[in-house]
Amino acid sequence: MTLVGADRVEDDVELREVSKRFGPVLAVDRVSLQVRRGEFFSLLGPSGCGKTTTLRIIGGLEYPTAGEVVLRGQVVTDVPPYRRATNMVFQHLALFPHLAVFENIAFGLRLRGLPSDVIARKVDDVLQLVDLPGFGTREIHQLSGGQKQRVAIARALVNEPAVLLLDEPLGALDLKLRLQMQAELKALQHRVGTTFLYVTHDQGEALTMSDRIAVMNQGRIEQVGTSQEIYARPQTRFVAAFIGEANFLEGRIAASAPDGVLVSVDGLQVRVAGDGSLPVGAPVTVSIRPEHVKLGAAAAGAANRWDGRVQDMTFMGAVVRATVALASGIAVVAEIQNDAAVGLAPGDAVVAGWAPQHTVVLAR
Amino acid sequence: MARADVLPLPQRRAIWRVMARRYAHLPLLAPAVAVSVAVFWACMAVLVVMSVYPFLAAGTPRFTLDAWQRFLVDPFYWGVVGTTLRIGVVVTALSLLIGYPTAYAMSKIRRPGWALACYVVLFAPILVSVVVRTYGWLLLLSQTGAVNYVLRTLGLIGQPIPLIFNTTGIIIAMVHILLPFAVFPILSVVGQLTSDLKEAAMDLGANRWQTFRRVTLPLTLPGVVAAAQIVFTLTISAFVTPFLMGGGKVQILSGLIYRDMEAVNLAFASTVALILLALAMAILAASNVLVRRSYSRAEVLRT
Ligand SMILES: Nc1ncnc2c1ncn2[C@@H]1O[C@H](COP(=O)(O)OP(=O)(O)OP(=O)(O)O)[C@@H](O)[C@H]1O
Ligand SMILES: [Mg+2]
Repeated sequence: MTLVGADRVEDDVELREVSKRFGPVLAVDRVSLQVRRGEFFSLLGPSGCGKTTTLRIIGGLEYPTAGEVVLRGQVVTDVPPYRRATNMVFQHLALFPHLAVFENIAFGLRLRGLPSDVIARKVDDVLQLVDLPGFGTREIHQLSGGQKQRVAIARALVNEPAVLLLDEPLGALDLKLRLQMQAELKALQHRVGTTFLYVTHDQGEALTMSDRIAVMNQGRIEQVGTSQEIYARPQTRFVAAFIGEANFLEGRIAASAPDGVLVSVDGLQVRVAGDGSLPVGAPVTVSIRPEHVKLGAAAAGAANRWDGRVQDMTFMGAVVRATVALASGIAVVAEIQNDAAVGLAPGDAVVAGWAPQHTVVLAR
Repeated sequence: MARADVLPLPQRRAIWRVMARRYAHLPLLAPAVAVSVAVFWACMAVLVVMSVYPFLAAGTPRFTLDAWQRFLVDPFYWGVVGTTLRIGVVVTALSLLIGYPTAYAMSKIRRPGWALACYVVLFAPILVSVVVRTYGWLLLLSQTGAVNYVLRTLGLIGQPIPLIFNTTGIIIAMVHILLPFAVFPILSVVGQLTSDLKEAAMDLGANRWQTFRRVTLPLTLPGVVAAAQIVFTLTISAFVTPFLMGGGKVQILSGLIYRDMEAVNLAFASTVALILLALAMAILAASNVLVRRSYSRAEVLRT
């Protein structure tokens, strides 16, 4: 439901129970979401989870099997792509090889019948914006990968769409260029203020760039939230595992403790922060991020603290990743700073612990 | 290379190996070169000589431009050139108009069985002799033929319309015979066109027609030009079909060549053959230039 009011930012995009079936494959499964005006919103999920399909439904290139697409308060489910206020940056860019950069970018403007001096000015402005001044006369095959990327973004952005749809636009670039383009894209979005709907399977990319993220899995949305919310408070095991890394301990709710709940995991009583909404005896998964597992003296004050033995250590640069087997046979992975790992070796006895507020309880 | 002989032996050997590898493919060209040079260019030479030495066969050769002069000053022969070119242009245009949608539709067929069926229907007629197919058209298009019968039965015409022994008949039969030659070059280009460029155009605001006009057509233009060139040259140089369908009432250049050869007027036949060849080459060259100019003009507009 879209509420337009003083206390509510208007939604640019809304999906209502949208599904898309390709024969036996349910690519998009009753997806509902709202993207607010001016937001950098990411659709994050593994390959084949339906991100591209969802984006194409919003752009009108795919017709949903069920559900409604709303753009700026208007139902556009039956509106063809060429009459929608959306523009897409395609996964494989789809720049027109027979046109130079200028004409690629001017494509949409020409179709709108704008006078040529206005077109020239707009194209020049957007080339400036994507940091490609004077590239108008270049042929597409004369551009580098990163430059093609910018042209594709410019070609979409110059039409001033209500929403810019970006389908893994940085997927084909090498790591260094990708990081640079991420920063540029975020800055660009900030400058133009256009709503960006960004599809990626790279969690790092989504976390650094997005105002909000929708995590998708098998056609469904698992969770929508800010980067911090998604990372610190995952609501499903899939989200916890897909975003960053996590130790998962399977157990049952044993009792309500003063500051949360007590979960019994293979004989261990793990204190976790929880709201007590789950009944005693309910099967749950406890998730702890490796960087929250402390070893040795650092674990001293932790409410969850057990003796264990270092099984394995991996040097990762700034951090060291240690696998610790607790007495009960459970293994947890700890990510600790390099200097805290000095003097620790596989086979050593060590205390491992973590604070209850760093744990998340997920119903099973 | 002048210093190669002063190089040490191993290096000289290495150079030879590199050369051998670089030019290893040249022998593969030999058959084509033999056919092209020996046959084609030798024939050309013979034609040129025969057109200016009319009595070469008879004995005393004597240089004369009589045959050329006769052709170039007589408006009748210019009329024949005009008819030939007109038939060529109309057949080419119709073949493209029918061939482009055909190729486009064929490229969209996903079921291998259907695609194969289409290929067979379209290309199998090539296997049947042109004479046989032309006689087929004569039967269909004659005053008492199936086409006139259907048109009259439907009440579309009162009198049977003459569809053979005129340019109409030639054009109908030629379009049918040359259609595969129009479809194939277009098909090979249209088949490579991926849907993402069309989707990009639609996303940027182009409706179906604008997408065709601004993306699909320009990107498939090389195939269209190739098809046009093939169909046009085959049409203006065709003999059997125009001869039979025209029934001796339509004069075209290839008919002139045949007539003068039968009359052992070899000088004039050679002249007409060379003029036909020159026309074909001029029009091929002109179309190439036009295509290139249209691309570079687009470029100028862009800058
Ligand atoms: N045109 C189609 N016909 C049949 N199945 C399709 C079609 N398009 C997508 N699918 C299927 O729908 C599912 C979702 O595809 P989609 O392209 O949306 O995934 P994605 O999340 O974008 O993946 P990736 O990250 O690999 O691009 C996949 O299982 C895919 O095989
Ligand atoms: Mg995709």
